[in-house]
Amino acid sequence: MNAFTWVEVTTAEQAVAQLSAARGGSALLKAGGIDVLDRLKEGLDAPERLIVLRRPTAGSKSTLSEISEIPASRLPDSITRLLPAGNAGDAPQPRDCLRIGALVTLAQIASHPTILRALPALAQAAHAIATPQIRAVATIAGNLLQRPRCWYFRSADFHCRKKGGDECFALDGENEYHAIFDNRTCAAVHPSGAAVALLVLDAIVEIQTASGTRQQRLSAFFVSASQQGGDVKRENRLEPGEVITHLYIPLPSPDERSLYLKSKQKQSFDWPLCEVAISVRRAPSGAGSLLQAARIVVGGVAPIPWRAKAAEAALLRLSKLDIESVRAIAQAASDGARPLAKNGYKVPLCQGVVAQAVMQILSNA
Amino acid sequence: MVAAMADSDSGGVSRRGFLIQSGTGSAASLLGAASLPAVRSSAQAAPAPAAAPITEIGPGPVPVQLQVNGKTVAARIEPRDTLAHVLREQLGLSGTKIGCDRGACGACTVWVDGIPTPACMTLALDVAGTAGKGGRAARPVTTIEGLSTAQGTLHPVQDAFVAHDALQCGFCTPGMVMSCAALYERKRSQGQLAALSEGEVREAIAGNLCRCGTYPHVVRAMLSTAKGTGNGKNGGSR
Repeated sequence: MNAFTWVEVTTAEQAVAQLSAARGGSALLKAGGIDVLDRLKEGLDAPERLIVLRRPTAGSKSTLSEISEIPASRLPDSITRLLPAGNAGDAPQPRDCLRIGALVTLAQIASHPTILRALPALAQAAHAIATPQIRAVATIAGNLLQRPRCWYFRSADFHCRKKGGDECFALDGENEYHAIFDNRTCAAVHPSGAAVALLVLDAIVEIQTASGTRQQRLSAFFVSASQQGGDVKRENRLEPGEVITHLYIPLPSPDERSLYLKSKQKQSFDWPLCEVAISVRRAPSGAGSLLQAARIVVGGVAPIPWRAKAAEAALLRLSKLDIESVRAIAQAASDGARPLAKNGYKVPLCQGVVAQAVMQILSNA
Repeated sequence: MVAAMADSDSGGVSRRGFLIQSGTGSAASLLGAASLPAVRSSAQAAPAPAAAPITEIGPGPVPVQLQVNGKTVAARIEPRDTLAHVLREQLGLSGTKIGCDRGACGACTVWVDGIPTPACMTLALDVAGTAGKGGRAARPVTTIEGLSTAQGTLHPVQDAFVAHDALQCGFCTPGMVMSCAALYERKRSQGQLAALSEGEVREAIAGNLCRCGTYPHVVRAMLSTAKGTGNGKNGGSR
C-alpha cells in the first residue's frame, strides 16, 4: 500500500470539493473501505489523498447514515418524476419512499424492520453479501460502486481493458466465474448483489455534484462497455468527483412482492455464481393473467446487473402456475447468453434460479 | 506499551513477553512521546455551516490514541496502517491473527464498538482518537487478549472451546472466539442465551474460516455453554 494523506470529511459537499481539489494529484473516496483497501493492497489504486467520508461523531446527525421513511407529501419533485408510472402514459405520482443514506451499512439494511417487511429482496440481498464482519463495515454506496472482482482485473500483473489495456484476458483464459451476457469487450461480472435487488425495486440514486445534486434511476446508472455512453474502464455513470448521497426506494403497495435468491459455491459466504431478484404486482382477480407488473434482474452473469426482459414478458403472460410455464420463463431468462469456454454451467444455473424465484414468489403472492 | 498491554503473568519474563519486548516495534518508547498535535484542520472548504472541519493527517506517522481492551494507549501510525498491523506490531497484541489480509478469512476479527469487525480491512485511523482541532475520541476496540479478565479468568466461550476441543491448529481460534463471544454477549444481554440456536451460531461464524474443519466442535461448544452445560468447570458434555 502506498503512503497517502488522510483527508477526513463528514458531508458529501466536502467530499466532492476535496475530490475535485486534488488537482494534478490523485484522490480516492473511502467510506467503509472494504473494496478500497482491497484495491490499495493490490496496488490497483495508489492515491496521494484518501478522502474519508465518515459518519459525524455522536451528537450530530446526518442523513448520509440514516434510513428514513419519506411520506409522499414530502417527496422532492426531483425524485417523484423518476418514480415508475402506475400505468403506461400516466404521470408519476408521489409515493411513500424509503431513503437510505450512502453510509448505511449492509448489516443495518439486512436488519431494518421496514426493509425486512416491505422490501424483502433488499434485506435478503444485503444479508447474503460477504461475511458478518464485512457487512458491519461495508456501506450500501460502496457496495454499488465497488470495482469488479474479475481475477485478471484484480491482479496488477494483467493490464486488461478495464485498466486501459487492449485485451480481456478472461475471454481465452480462466473464465469460469465470468459473464455469459454482453461479455465480448470485458467479461467481468458486476459485483454488487444489492444492485440486483435495488433494480427490481425501482430505486433512484441521488448524487452530489460540484454544482448541486442530481438524481437518476438506478436502472440507468449501471452501464456496460457495449451500451451507449459505456466505457469499459467504468461500470456506471458516476462522473469523476461525484459522490452518491442517498437511495430512494418506493414502498410497495399491498399487491406487490419481492424476493432475492443467490446460488454460490461455498454455502457459508461467497460471491454469487448467479443471483436473482424478482418483484411482481398481482393483477386484479378476473384479469386474464396473474400479474400486472414483473421485474427480474439476474446478477453474476453480465458486466451490469442483467434485466431479464424476455423472462419478464413470459412471466406477465402467465395465467396459471404450472411447470411448463415456469420452464418457458426460465428458458427466456437465458435468451442471448453466449457463454465462454468454462462458464457454460451458468446458462442452466441462470434458468434454475429464475425458475426457483418465480415459483417461490407466486406461491407466496 | 508492553508493560501496559502484555499478559500479566507477573514475575519472570514469559517467552511471549520476551519476544514482544525484544521485537523491533519499540512500542514502549511511544508511551513517552507526548501528544504532538500533527493534525491539521481547515474549515475553509466546508460549505455547510454545521459541517465538522476537514481534517488532514499524514502521510507520515502521527501520534494517536487507541482505546484497546479498556485502556487508552498511545501509538504512532501512518494513515495506511491497518488496525490488525498496529495491534500486532505496535501494541504487541499478537492474538489477533492475519490470515488472508483481505477480509475473507476472519482470523483478524476484533470488536469495534462491540461489533465483530475485520481488523485487516480497517485502517487504524478509522478507530483512533486524534488530538488537536477537529480531533475525535477513539472507538473502543476489544481483542482476544481483552476477553478474559486481568486475573486470567476466561470468558465462558473460551472455557467452552477448551472443554469441547473447538480448535485444532488454533490459527482461526482468536477470530472464531471473538465472533462467538459477540453472539454470546448479544444473546445474554437480550436474556435469550438459553434459546441460542445452531443456526445462529453458524450464522455468527460464517465469516471465520477454519482450515482444520473444526466447525462442529465450535457449534457444540457454543450451544452447550449457552445452555450452561459446557463450560468445562461443571463437567461439560464432551
